[in-house]
This record gives sequence, C-alpha cells and structure tokens, in this order.
Amino acid sequence: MMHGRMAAPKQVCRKRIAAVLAVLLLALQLAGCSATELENRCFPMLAVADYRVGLVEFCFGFPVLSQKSETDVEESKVQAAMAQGGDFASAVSNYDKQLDKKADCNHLKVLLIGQEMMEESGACADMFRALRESEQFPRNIYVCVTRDVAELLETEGTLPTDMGSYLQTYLQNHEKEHGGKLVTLGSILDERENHSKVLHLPYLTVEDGSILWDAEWDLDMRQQFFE
Amino acid sequence: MFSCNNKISLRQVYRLFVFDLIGICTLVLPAKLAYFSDSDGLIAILIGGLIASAFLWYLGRIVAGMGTDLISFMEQSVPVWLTKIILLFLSLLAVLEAGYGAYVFSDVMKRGLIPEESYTLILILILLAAAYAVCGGIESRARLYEVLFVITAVGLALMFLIAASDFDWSYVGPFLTGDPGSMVKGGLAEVFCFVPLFSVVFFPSYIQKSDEKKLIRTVMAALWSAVLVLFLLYLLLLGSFGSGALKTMRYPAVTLMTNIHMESSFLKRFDAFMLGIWFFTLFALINLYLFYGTKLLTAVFAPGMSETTCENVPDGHTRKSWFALAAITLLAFVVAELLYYRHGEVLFLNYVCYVGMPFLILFPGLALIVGKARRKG
Amino acid sequence: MADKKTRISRNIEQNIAEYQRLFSECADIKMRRMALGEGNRRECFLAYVEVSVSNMLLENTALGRALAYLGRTEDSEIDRVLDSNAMGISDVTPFEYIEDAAAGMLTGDAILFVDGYDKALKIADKGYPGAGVKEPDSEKVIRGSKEGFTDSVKMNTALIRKRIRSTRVKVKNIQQGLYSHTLVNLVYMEDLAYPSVIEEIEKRIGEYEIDGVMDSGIIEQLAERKWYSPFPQFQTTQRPDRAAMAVLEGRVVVMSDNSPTALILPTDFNSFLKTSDDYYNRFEVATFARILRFMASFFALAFPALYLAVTNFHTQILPTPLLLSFWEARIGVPFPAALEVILMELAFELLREAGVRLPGAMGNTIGIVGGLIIGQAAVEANLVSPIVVIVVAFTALCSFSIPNEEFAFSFRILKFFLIVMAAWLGFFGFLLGLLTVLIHLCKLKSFGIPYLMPFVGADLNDYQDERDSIWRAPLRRMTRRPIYARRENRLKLKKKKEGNG
Repeated sequence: MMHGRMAAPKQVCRKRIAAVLAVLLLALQLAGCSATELENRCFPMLAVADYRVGLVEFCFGFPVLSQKSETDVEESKVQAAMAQGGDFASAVSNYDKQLDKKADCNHLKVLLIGQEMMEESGACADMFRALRESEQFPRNIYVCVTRDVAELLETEGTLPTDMGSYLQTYLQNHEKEHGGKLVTLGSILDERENHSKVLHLPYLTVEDGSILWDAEWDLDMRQQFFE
Repeated sequence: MFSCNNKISLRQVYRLFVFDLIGICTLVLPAKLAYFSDSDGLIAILIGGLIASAFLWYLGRIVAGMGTDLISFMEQSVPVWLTKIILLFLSLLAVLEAGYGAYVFSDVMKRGLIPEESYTLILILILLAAAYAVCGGIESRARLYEVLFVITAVGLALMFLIAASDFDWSYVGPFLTGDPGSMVKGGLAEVFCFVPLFSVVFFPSYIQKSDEKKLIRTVMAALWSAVLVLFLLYLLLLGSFGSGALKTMRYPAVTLMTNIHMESSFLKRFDAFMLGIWFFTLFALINLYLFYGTKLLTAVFAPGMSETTCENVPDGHTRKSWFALAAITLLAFVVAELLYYRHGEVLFLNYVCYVGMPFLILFPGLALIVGKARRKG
Repeated sequence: MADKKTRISRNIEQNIAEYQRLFSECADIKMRRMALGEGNRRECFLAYVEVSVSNMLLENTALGRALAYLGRTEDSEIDRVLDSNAMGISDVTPFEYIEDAAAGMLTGDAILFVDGYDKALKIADKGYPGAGVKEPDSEKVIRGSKEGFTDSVKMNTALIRKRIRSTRVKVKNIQQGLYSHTLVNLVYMEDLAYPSVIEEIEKRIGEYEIDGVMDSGIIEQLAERKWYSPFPQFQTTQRPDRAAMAVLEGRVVVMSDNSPTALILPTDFNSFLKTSDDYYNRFEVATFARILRFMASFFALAFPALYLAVTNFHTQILPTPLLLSFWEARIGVPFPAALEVILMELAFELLREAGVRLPGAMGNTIGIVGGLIIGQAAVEANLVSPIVVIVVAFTALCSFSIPNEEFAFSFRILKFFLIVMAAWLGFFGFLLGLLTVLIHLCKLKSFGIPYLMPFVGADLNDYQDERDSIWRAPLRRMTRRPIYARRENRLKLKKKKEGNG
C-alpha cells in the first residue's frame, strides 16, 4: 500500500513543472548564438587613428603567433589594410568589414593617434565621442600620439613582439622618467566631463629605427574642446 | 525537529537586509548623487542615512504598537474591505519594485556580461530563478544570503582595495559648494533606494519572540552597514572618475570594475567576476519583492493561510499561493519589459517619489490608529 | 497482506508435510529425519539451508551440541529440556508457527521439530557465507583503523559495539522486504540522539512495502524526502570508526543485512567533505586537507564551465599570452569549444565506468590507456585542444578528492548542467546555474537539519560547528558535540581537574 501524497497535488506539481518548462522553451527561442568561438576571433593589441586628406584613417595591429607544430599559423593571420571614413565610426566600420574574424578588443593595449588627428579638433572630438558611446575599447588602454603613424608602424618588423604589446611595455617602463601617470582612454573620457586637468600624452618619434618617447602632447581638458 | 518553524535568527535578518539594501543603491545611486550634489554627495549619503534611520525608527514604533506583523494586525483589527485594498496596493508596489529590480538586473547583465544576448531572455531567467527561491520560504532565503554574504563581502572589499590604487584626491572636493537643498535631494534619492526597509513590518512573524526587541537594532545595523558601503564606494568613484564624469555614467560601479587591473596579477581584469556581486545583490532585491508580493496577494485572497513550507507539511504551499507567485512574477516581467522598451524609468521614479514612498510612510501609522481604535471600540 | 499462519502441531508428520509443501522444489533446502532421546524413540526433523549449517554437525557447534545433548536425554524429559532451554545454548529461538519457523530458517539457521512438542526451535549455526572484515575499497585513510563493514548486519553492529562499549548504545531491529525479510538495524546513543529523528526514520523505513531489500541503497532512496535531488540526504560509510563517531555525535546509523554500506543521518554538506583521519591527525594537517577538499569540490563543479565562459565570452579575464596560447591551440579543431568539453567529459566518465567494471589490473590499465594514449591521440589528431584535456583531467582529479562517492557523483552530474549554462550564456549562465544549485541546497534538509550547516544557522549551536567545517580547530578546543546531539548533552570534552586520576 503506497503512502504519500494524494493524486491531485501530484497533478498540480506536474502542471507547475510543465509551465516552467514551457517558459524555458519559449526563452530558448530568444537565445541567439552569441558565443563566438575563440578561433573565429582576432585580438588586436593596437588601435591606430589618423587624419589625412579630410578623412579619418583607422586600423588595428595584431600579434604574430609563434610557429607551433600542427598549428595552421596562416589561418590565424589577419590581413587588413588601413580603412578610411568620413568620421571615426565609419572608418572603424569600414575596417571591420575587411576582417574575416570578429575583432575582440578586450586585449587592446594602446591607442595610437596621429598628430594630424590631434590637431583636427573636430575629428578628434568625434572620435572620443564615438569611443564613449560605443564602449568598444577598454577604458584602461594607454593613449599616445605620434608625428607619423606610418613611420612608427614600419618599425614593427624589428620589434620582439607586436607593436601594441611593445608600446605598452615601453610606456610602462619609461613612466617614471617622465614624472607622471600614463594617460588612459578612461581618463580622457572622464576629463571630457570634468574639465579639470591638462593631460600629458606621450609623444612618440622614430630615430634610427627605434621608437623614442622624448616629449609630451598636452591636452588641455579645462577648455571644452571635446564637447 | 529543527528549523521547521519558519523563523530565522537575527544574524540572518542582518544579512538579509544588507543584501536587500546594497544592490540598487550601489549601482544606480552614485550617478544620481553626483548629479544632485557632486562631491557633497558624501554628505548627502550621511543625510540619507539619517532620514532612513528615522523612517526605520518610525516603523519600529509601528511594529511595537501592533505587537505582531502588519498582515496579522490588519486581518485582526482593520475592516476586511480596507485590509484587502491596502494589501492589494502594497502588492502592486511590490510588483513595481520587483519589476524595476529585474529591469536593472537584466540591463546590467546585458551591458556587462552578455551584450549580444536578448534582454528578455535574461529577464525571464532571473525571474524564474527568483520565483524558485521564493518557494523555499523565508528560511531558505535567509540561508542563501547567509552563504553569499561572505563571498560578496570579500568581493566588495577586494574591489575597494584594488580600486584604491587609482584613487585621485584632486577629484574629491570641494565640499559644501552647492545649496543644502541639493544635498537633501541626494539624501532622499538614497532613502528611495532603501524602500526594502519597509519589509521590517512583516518580520515579527519570522523571528523568535525573544528576538523581537532586538529586531530594529539589527536592521539599523544593516542599514548603516549599507550606508558605509555606499559611502566608501561613492568616495572611490569620485576619486576614480570625478563628479563630472560620474553624473554621466549609468552604472559607475560597473565602469569602475572595468577600469581596475593589477599588473602583477594572473588575471587581467576582474570585471566579469566582480559583476557577480551585483548579480547576487540585485537577485536578493527581486527575490525580496516577489516574496512579499506573493505573501500580500495570498493574504488578499486567502487570509489567515499558513505560510509553512516545512518538509513535515505535505505541500506547504496551497494552490492560491502558487497562483499568487505566478501572477506576481508575470506582472513583474511586464513592468520590467515596459521599463526597458518604453523607457519608463522616469515614470517609475516619479511614482516612487510621489506615491509609493508617501504611502509607505503614512499608511502604517493610519492602519495602527484605525486598528487600535477598532479594538478599543 | 496478512497470510493465515499454520500453528505447529504436536504431530511431527503434519509438520513435516506442511514444511515440505512450503519448500517443495527447493533443492538447496535440506530436511532430515532423526531420532532423539536415550531410546531413540522421539522422532525429530531438522531443516536447514544447505551451506548455512555445518555438514559435520560437530560437537563444538551449537547445533551439534544441542543434538548430542538431546540424544542423551530421556524421552520423557525432552519436552522439559526444550521448554527451559536446558541445553546450555544461548541462541535458541522457539517458534509457534510454521511460517515463522521457515522465515527463521531462511536467516541461515537450522530448524528443529520434535514429535510431541508444539514448537520449532531455531538453533544458530555457521550461517550464510559472507565476506569477512577487510579494508573498505573506498574511504581509504592513511591513519586509522583498516577495518570495514561486512555483509552481515550482526557483524557490523558488533564492530560499532566494539568501539563504543556503553550501555547507552541502542540497537533497534526492523525487518524490511516482503520476501527478503531483510534485517535492518538502527544504532544510536540513547541520550544523544533526538527521539523525533529516530521516530522519523522508523516511520520512513516503514512507509513502503517492497519485495526485497538487497542493499542499504534501496532504503536510502525510499526514505529520502527530496528523491529528485542530486545530493544525497544520507551519509554513507563502510568504516566502523566513522559510524561509531557518528553515533557519538548523536546521529543514527542505519545498517541493512547483506550490505557493507551503512547510512548515517542526519547529515549535511560539510559531513561529506570530512574523513575519519581528519580527527586522527593534527589540526594543521586536517585544516589544510579540508580547505583542499572544499576547493576541489568547487573546481569539480565549476572548472569546465568557467573555462567555457572565459574563452567564449569574457576573454578580458585571461592574460594576453595565455589567451593567445588558447587561441593557437584551438585553430584547426573542428568542434565548438562547448561540444569539445562535453565530449571529453563524457569520454572521461566512460573511462571511469570502464575502470570500475573491469576486474583488477585491467581496470587500472584502462585508466592509463584511456587517459594518456587516447587523450594524446585525440590532441595530435586535432580533435580536441590540449587545454581541454588539461581542464577535464584537472576536474576529474578534483572530483576524486571528494571523500564520499555518492556526494562526488552529484558534482559530476551538476558539472554538465553548469557547462551547458556557461556555453549558452557565459559567466551569467554560470552564475545562474550556481545560484540555482545554491537555492536548491538552501531548501534541502536532512531530518530537519539544514543541508548547508554550519555555513548557515551556525548560531544555533553557538558557532561550535564552525570549528569543524572548512577548518578544524585543535582537538582540545572542540569541546562540544555538533547540532545533531540533544541540546542538554552537547559537552563531549573537558579537562579533568588535577588530582582526579
């Protein structure tokens, strides 16, 4: 003789379970395939923005993987030329279209901005506005300026690592010499609202094929350049 | 046997309230404080703490006057039709708060963890989880937060310590530059985030008789613990971003976590892990309102029903309470959807300011007066 | 189903006929007619299960001595001798009904009918064959007794009695199984265990009528309230010292005949992560081991899910060189990461099952063959990435560190749930899955004790239980019994006053 619950609560229990399962099944329909596999992503270490001939130029710098056995290193290489656009957002979008993998910017280390871009305040303001709204780049990436972006990127072949990782280490190692804290993207975006500081961005040049940080580019955020 | 009496200890009460209070206030409040008061937001936090303490003291007097929990008192002393109307209104409030909590939760998780996923999916899942937690009763809720308390506290402490390394004192201050009204506004905004304090009126039925006198003291300790956490967090946020940037951020605490990194650490960034703090605290908030919403709605349709969920009682929940839970959860879902897709946040906040909070302040006193008058009569 | 019972007759022929009817077509049941008494004039009839009685009926067995004694007794005195049990044997049980006598014989003893006597006598002999006391296969300890429970419930009860020589240790007999008539013993300390717990377990055992109880696992599953929970609500042990410790804590030990596994109740999450040698070793050693086990249990549940969440959704957590290493390793692998992890986990579970089922050395070999060769071959064929092999192997290692097999199994099952959640929704899915498990654990109780004691409700026992949780306090600080024991008898250790020997 079975002891225990009577039939009616059992049916109620089954109905509850059925209701929850129905809701979950419905919820499953809402699920997209948002997970992108690791091998379908690329990981830029460097973002480069410049301004030439009235257009914003943009590209990423990627790491070069070491040759391991059984690994198709060719498959992992990312080939994309610098893209142009009327503004920063369109330049980034045009660049993304060239990529066959999804750019995962979580490991971006440095944002390198060309001097002409910094001098073009409208384009520069637009860039920071787009970066703030899209939240595409991490806030803790270092920001630096260079006179000639192409000249700097040409030295990548002589470097022990990719440009982004190299610049990050280089800037960290020389931070104390220049007596200040490195400027991050977050601090620029915050100062756009705070208007309280002058930010000293590292100004990089190339001498004899080597990258040098021997000056700063002063960004006076107390004036409302980037509104 | 043991623990089958639907009662919890004061230690569990403390942890429950800390969880209920710190979720929304640490997430949504800092930006509002910066908007109202800039650096004076620190003072506004203390003012808000004092106002909330007064509110809690007032609720303590109500509870002492009633001698029992609110629902039992109303069922015994207030006319039935009035009781039903008030309890229905309270359940509506609970639905709105649950919906808002679920909206904030889903929004934070979508932005912070899975931006490409559907908001509605996140919402459905968290409401189901919260409803599941409600089924276990007050004891199971209390146990959950008792376990999570240490993990969350350690996570918060870690976050504060790491974030302190990027602290910039130049962003903090100047103080007392704005008008006092702005500080009071900030304080009131804080009090609106402390609406969960109202649940203290339900607690006499959940604690031992011997603990009743210490109940308000325990909740007060929880309140000031939450105020302290908020104070420290706001200070850190000010020092990390500055008040100008802070007021433009939606969830500055989440942004703080994306900022912090330890160069010598194995893990590069902790933001995904740290979001776990708000996962659990906001879950606690949703759970709180679903729990009380169910309790109130059940009291409307099945007054005097026992709430036991003990294993010795076969099927501790009757059909009516299951329907009440399903109804509250569904309504909370609708509210959260409206808040997200129809941008109803402003409307909700206005409701809390001009309808919800005044009602929560006025009606318990009125109920006590009416009830006592009826008893004397 | 109350069957009508047949009273034993003074006429032995009737008894023999009835007994032979009951055991018709039972080639293993031996029935022998004999003649007893000085003049060999009292007919008797002996029935037994073939291997359970010594064939030689030697004088030094109880049965042999009984028969020899009766053989020397005057015919007229036999009834008096039998009534007053004057044969000098302790273990003799009289039965008045044929069916009871049959049931008694089926416990492994011999049944003696005597002509003119209206009762049958059950006389103990060597009993059914069983394995002797040996070291348990699971629950191995470095320090501590190497004895384990056997298949005989009487032997097992004796092993506990050997360790607690107190009159307060009580043993209650319950019979379960409609056909198996399996003997179930409840062992507890009279003044320590809550009477309500004892009543509750008795009630639960008696709730169901089942045809046979082959192992304590059947009792466990029928007596559990939350039968659908992956977490066991009874603790199991094959160690007598563990069971004895549980009795001294105020818990109840349930032992079933034919089962070397005892059930301990009430239980909690913490109990499953303790071992006997935690108490035999110094507190630093025990604490280190406990912390290791708690961490292992977390990783056994969460590690593969965390791997998936981090690599598919939240790459910002990993340091760049590690991420690039993972990225490289995944190039060319045909399966999505989630499927890869699930397949490897399933493969490992298959290996584990095969290792358990295969005898002796082959079982050990399959682990090496499967783990090293198959895993290595799969990596070299680019079917899986080496990282996944490491993740799965580490997870398996963690699950092996959990002392209790049933408890470890719940982690093995739930791990798949978390893998699916993490693969679907990343860290959010992981947290949601973890939260669901946590909510379930918070609702779970074992005979009224919250399953998450002492992490919850620690103040119920003045925080004493926390001294024996994720860390173990020095033994001289563990003065009180845990919450299972009755409140008025919680003191278990105190220092003697000087001069009191």
